[in-house]
Amino acid sequence: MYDFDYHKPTTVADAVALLAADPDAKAVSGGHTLIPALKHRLNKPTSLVDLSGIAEMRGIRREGNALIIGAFTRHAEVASSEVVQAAIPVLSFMAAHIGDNQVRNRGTIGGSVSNNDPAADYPAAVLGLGAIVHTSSRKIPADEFFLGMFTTALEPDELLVAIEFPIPEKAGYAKMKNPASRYVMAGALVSKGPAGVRVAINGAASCVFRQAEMEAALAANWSPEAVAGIQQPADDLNSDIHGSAEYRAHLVTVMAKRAVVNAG
Amino acid sequence: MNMEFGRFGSGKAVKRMEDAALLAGEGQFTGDFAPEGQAHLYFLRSPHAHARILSIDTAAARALPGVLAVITGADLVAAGAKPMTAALPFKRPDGAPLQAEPQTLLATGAVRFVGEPVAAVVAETLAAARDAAEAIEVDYDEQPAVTVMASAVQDPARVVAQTRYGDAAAADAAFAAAAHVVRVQIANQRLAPAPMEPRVVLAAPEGERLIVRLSSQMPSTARDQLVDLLNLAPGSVRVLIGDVGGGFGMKTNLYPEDAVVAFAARATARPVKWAATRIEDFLSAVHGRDVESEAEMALDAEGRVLALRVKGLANVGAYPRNSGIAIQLLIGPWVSTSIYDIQTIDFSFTALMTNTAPTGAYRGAGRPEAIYIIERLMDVAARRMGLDPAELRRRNMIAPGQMPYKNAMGQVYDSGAFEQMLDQGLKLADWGGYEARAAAAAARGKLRGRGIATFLEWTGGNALEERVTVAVKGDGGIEVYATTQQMGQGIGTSYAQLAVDIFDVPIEKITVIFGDSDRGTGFGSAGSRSLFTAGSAVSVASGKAVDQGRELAAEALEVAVADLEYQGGTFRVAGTDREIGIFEVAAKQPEGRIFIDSTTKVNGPTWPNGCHICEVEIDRETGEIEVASYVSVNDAGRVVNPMIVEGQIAGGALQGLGQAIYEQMVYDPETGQPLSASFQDYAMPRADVLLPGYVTALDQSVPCRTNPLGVKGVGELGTIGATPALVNAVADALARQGKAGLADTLQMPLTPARMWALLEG
Repeated sequence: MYDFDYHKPTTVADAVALLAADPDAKAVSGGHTLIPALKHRLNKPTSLVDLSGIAEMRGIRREGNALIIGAFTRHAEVASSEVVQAAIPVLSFMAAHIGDNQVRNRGTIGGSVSNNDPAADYPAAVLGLGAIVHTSSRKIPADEFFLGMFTTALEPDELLVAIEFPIPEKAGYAKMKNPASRYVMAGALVSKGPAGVRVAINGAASCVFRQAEMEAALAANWSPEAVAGIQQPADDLNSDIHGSAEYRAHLVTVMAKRAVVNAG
Repeated sequence: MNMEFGRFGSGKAVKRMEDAALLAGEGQFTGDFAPEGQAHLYFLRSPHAHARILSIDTAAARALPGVLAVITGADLVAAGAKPMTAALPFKRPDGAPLQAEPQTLLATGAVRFVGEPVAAVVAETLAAARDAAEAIEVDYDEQPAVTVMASAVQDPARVVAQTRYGDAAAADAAFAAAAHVVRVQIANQRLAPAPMEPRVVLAAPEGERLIVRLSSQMPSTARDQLVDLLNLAPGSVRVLIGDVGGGFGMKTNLYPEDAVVAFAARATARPVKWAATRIEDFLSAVHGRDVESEAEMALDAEGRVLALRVKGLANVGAYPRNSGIAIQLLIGPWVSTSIYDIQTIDFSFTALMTNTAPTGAYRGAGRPEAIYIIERLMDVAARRMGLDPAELRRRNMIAPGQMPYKNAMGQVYDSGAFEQMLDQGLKLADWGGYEARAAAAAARGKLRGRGIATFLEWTGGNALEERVTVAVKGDGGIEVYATTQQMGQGIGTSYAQLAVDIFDVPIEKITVIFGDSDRGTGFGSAGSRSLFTAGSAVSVASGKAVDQGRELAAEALEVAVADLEYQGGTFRVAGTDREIGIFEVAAKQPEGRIFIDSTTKVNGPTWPNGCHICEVEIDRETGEIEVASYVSVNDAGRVVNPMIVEGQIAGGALQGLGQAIYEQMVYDPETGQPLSASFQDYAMPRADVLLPGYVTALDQSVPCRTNPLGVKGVGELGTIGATPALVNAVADALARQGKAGLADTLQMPLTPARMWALLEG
């Protein structure tokens, strides 16, 4: 990696100030995307702003009909949290199936959602559960947050601080893993609750997206059969050495069906 | 034999002596050494698959802080360094000698694959070396790249060598008279060996000599190649090899990078280290396999094979290596007819040069490719004829009474009871109960398939001689030195067990030393040869040490040699209590030891063989293949350590399953850019592929007849059996779906996407 300055602020305000003062600064949370990129010299930030010292970005709490998870919460904490398991078990399930132990003990929900890797798990939960992203300056509904591949509504000097998940009545997740990286090839998170019936598809396209036809079908009839016949168009889906767009389109249907089964 | 010590002799599952240190992180790998003053080397590599180098400007790089040297190919040529060459007596199709553009240690004039080393920077820190490498300006003139064999074969300049074997006219006649002819068109895809520890080299000048530590399977070969490539004085290089984190053949021959590090250490008069990143290994360590074959088999009405015809194309990469060519054009074909009595063959193998990394040895090296072809053909034939695939194989097997058996390639099998392995395999796999398991799987919505491979392999590298030293020391220890190399396979423990057999002392008394080229010269560890060559040598040398001890003990006790009995490390005058320990005898010697330097030659290669049976279940919706069971019965000859042998076979099989289901080194056909140069895209099998239904059995009833131990090499056996067993199982599952026609062209890796497309199509 190239040389950079290192900062470890203890408040969100200080972190934002550091980012605002230097357009080439980068925030680092768990670092599981950024650190490898730095090691390969694919990224050359002037400074790193380490978020691990900020207490207000941590913690899991229930507030009424919502679960609020601090941005710096590790995947392993979400996986093992009794509060999450009781309120939104699909989140614990998802977190428990991200990467491996090492990844789960370092990676954070805020880092994953801010990075918006098309093959990441958490964006499907945020979009599929209709969550609200709390940032250092505002609250952004999930539908307005994910803009494209590795792109979100966050401004350069804006930090994701917490995510507010409405507690669904039912929710399920299923994914097909890439045989090499074990990132998501195609996944579906389906839910029914205060945010309506939602189907979020990850892995298959350049950005997580909602599958409107499946949502309508599930709203009318919450069952695996309701989505089994719905074909995702292959246009605009990813195609690479691991699978064609047609294969991913097919997987979208299979994973949606399995997600409904998992939701119960 | 002392019963207590005998628990650690051969035949016992002794725990590996090296594991405690390795598990505690106390291994001594090359990367663990960081001598005072160590400088770091970084390679600038070609970003293009094919380009002319118009100029290299290193001025800016040399001026950067911390930079000790910037080395280019021109510098090496000026210093007299030799290029890597392929020097085998193979011919081109027109009879001209093999000729390929040699790879200079750093590129000169042109680059021919992505990742080819172009320049080297030595600096005080790795970061400074990388900074300087980025400051080197190379002006490239890009040329068209060829990575696909169908294109390469059209260009005579890329057809580097061809071999033909057999009798084409006799084969034509056999095919014309055949009741059945089956044909497959199959590829054995390019693989990246990917040992856990990538390549690493540390070269340090010491007086007039150069001490080179590296991760290698062949200590003295590495020394000799360094001396040769850099034109150094014989004896001026000492190669030291500590722990090695896996080799799989990839660490057999020396790499251009290794020689550049050695050159850099001399040029800078500093210890210089280069540790390959994972990506550097993907780009520029040798790859394995990469063969496309058209194969046909002629059978009579009863299923007896009349003739085998194979036409193979091998992509040997940008700079053909001796091993890369020999593996595909000579060694693999030795086992093409496998365990079947097929004397009429018509083979032709062609090596093609492309703009990809060179190929070389990778676990199995030619035998997996050859066995894959005939085992796929056997399955296609059985299905075509409506025969049980096990029965068709049985009808063609060479009988024990035919041993020694000379195959159509002139190779002589010393021993083998192939039907015996088959019978045990069928029983262990509950062959007859398959229909019930298939029905149960169908009820769960899964497609079940069953595949079998019966096969043998050649081991040993035809390097049959091995020198070892054994020192019985007055301080109570026995030191064995071998020029073969431990690299995770547990060979040191096996040698120690063989020494225990002879010395009859606790195994803790035995120390096995590897990896010091000053202490002995030998071929190294490759081709599953270590145990039957060096193990035999350890046994023979240990026997000589006891004999010498007996003579010395007789002198000390003033009795006749014949009056002495030896047990538990002690010589005793028969029928008395007069005795002297072997270590006591050693202590009395002028050097305080009994020292044996002994070379043993075995009489031939070994031919391990087996029956591997795999059942799979395919998820119809996702195309995912699950290995439902994997059962193998293996003729490993006499077994020294069953735990290690089972581990070798199971690990090898997992690697073979990896090829069948996951792995493939992919190059973009247009640009020649590698598309799978990290684990992000190169799919490796993981521990969770192995399921409880994984059984490895050993049959020790057929000892090898060409070495004194009766052992057979087992390092590659699993890898060879697993790919055809799994692919045949998938072909069976497809046939059960009415898609038997797909079996003739089914291609690895059987990824979920590929399986789904086959099931949908």
